[in-house]
Amino acid sequence: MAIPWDQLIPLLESMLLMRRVEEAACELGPGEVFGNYHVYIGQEATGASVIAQLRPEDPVFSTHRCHAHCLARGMSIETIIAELLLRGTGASKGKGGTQHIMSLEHLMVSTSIVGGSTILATGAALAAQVMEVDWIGVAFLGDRSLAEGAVSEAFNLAGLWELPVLYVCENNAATPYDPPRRSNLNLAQLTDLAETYGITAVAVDATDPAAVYPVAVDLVERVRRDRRPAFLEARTPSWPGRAGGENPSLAVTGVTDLSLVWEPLADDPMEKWHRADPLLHMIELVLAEKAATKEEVLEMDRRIQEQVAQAVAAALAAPFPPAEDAFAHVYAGGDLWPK
Amino acid sequence: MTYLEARNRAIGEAMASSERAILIGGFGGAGAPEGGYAKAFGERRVRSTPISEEGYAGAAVGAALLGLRPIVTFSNASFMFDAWEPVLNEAALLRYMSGGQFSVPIVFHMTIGLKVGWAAQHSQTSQAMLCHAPGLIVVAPGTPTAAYELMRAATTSDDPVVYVDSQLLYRETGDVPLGEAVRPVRACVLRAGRDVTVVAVSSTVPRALRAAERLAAEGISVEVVDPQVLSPLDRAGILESVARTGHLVAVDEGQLTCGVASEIVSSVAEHGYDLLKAAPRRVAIPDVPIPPGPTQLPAVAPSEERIEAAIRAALD
Repeated sequence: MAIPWDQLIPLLESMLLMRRVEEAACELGPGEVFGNYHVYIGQEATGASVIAQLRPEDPVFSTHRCHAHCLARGMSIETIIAELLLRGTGASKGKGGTQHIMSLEHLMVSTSIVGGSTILATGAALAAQVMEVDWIGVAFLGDRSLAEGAVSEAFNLAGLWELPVLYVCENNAATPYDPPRRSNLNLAQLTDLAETYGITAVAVDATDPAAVYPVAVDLVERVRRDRRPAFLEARTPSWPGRAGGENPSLAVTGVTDLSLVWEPLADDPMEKWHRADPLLHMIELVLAEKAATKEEVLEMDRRIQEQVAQAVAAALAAPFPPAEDAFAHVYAGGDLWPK
Repeated sequence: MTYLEARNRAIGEAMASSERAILIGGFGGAGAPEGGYAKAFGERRVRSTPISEEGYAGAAVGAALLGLRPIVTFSNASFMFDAWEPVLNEAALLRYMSGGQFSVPIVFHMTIGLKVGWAAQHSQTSQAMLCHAPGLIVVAPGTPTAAYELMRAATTSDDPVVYVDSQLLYRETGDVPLGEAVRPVRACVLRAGRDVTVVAVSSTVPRALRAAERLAAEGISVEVVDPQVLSPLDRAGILESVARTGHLVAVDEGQLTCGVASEIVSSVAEHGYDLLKAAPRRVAIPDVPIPPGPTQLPAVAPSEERIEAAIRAALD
């Protein structure tokens, strides 16, 4: 079994929570979520599988598409949604917003500068090496970030210095096993770039949780044991709700109907997407392995949707932080430097 | 002790006092440990780097987020432009954007100092640009004592600090009080005077002191102030001096427009207009790139002669 039986339910729960939070973000829409926001719909198997292998002391560096990584890391739904809505109760006290949800307690950093997560995670791995501790650094990055010089520089340093860092490249524009989009990268395969720098690289179809989970286990273990970098390309198709417009929307797909797993539509206009949807695959797996019944899955979904609805209501009711907070958190404070 | 010895002494003290201090890139010269920092502290904590400014500066920021205290050198300030992303977008902003959760205790070291033959691409003076990045502390020592004290302050700070280091000062000598407790860093009066305040930055400090000495023979009493920290600027300290003299000349080896000298003059004009008896003056690099040639470079440098002329003009 690719996924240990006792991990099936936690993995489904993690993926379902990601999905329902992102759908809630889309429903709130640009009127409530200020700024451009980016959702993780269709990529859930990757973040849930990788982050489930990490220890609390492994720092995680995410991107502009950070909501779901923060959820998998165990940050509260309330502080994540409040940050989307720029409330003072948000994880980053309303100073970061949708693309910069952070938690020191969870060692979760998010940066919206494309490629930035890779150099920071490489440095976290350097810290582990210098301090002679056994944590690993983990960077999530998008496929298009591989065109950034920073990413090649990070790969080179990680290879040269043998740093324990895992780069999780989420290729969310892949029809699995198509070559990279040529408008951005002159590479035959994304893994080629990492391999050029001597980094172990694996590509996987991340629409299938049973495929991505064991690779995540293996790469996290390898980086931790061998103290060397590794690269994972997780291939998922582009979710149709991302097409067109500045912000994602549920206009095309609607909210996810879990019953499609056991009652597929005869003439489904979204058939291509539904066949790729890792969440539906995960439910199929759970049912096939008898880890839960349909009713139990639906009950889990009801509970999660209720939690998300409560978090949304709490965030909407919370005030924006006072204007004077704009002047806080610039410096550490103290008397060393002039004010 | 020379300026370079003082700076290197402070780096050595930081490395000796904490296992969490690391060096990224090459420091050396007088005052460095016998055989170099790598021999003294080991290659685990002292890294020579590939030519990869964005990569190693970014990695240093990541390491700082996890509790190390990296001292990173770009050597020439021009090369730091390749690392603008981790310095300006990551180091300067992660405390703020995380709502105060994360600290980036790091020192970014860059050298400035106009030299014949180096040409514009090796002569960038970006201290003012860096002052436009709230979240960064920008320090610029002008004396051996400041070289020591500012490096010590920078290596104990919980904020990211840019250490602007003029290679033109390396051989300056002075008595440096070693080993005292790290003190709050403020603008510092290097020479007391009654008639005019010259706020001089980095390599312009010795030039301002020499100009002051020459003018003293004519009965002009010049007060020379080293701001030491360019951002956040110690405006109160500068205003105190202007309150004594009533005249101001601001000097920086950086570009004139929106530059450090401009900020000093604006601050005094805004907050101390009534203290001024005449229009303040700026001495900086005119708004041209730095020429390499021996006839042209002196025409743009903030020289002793230009400082002296500005003092006379301010008092005219």
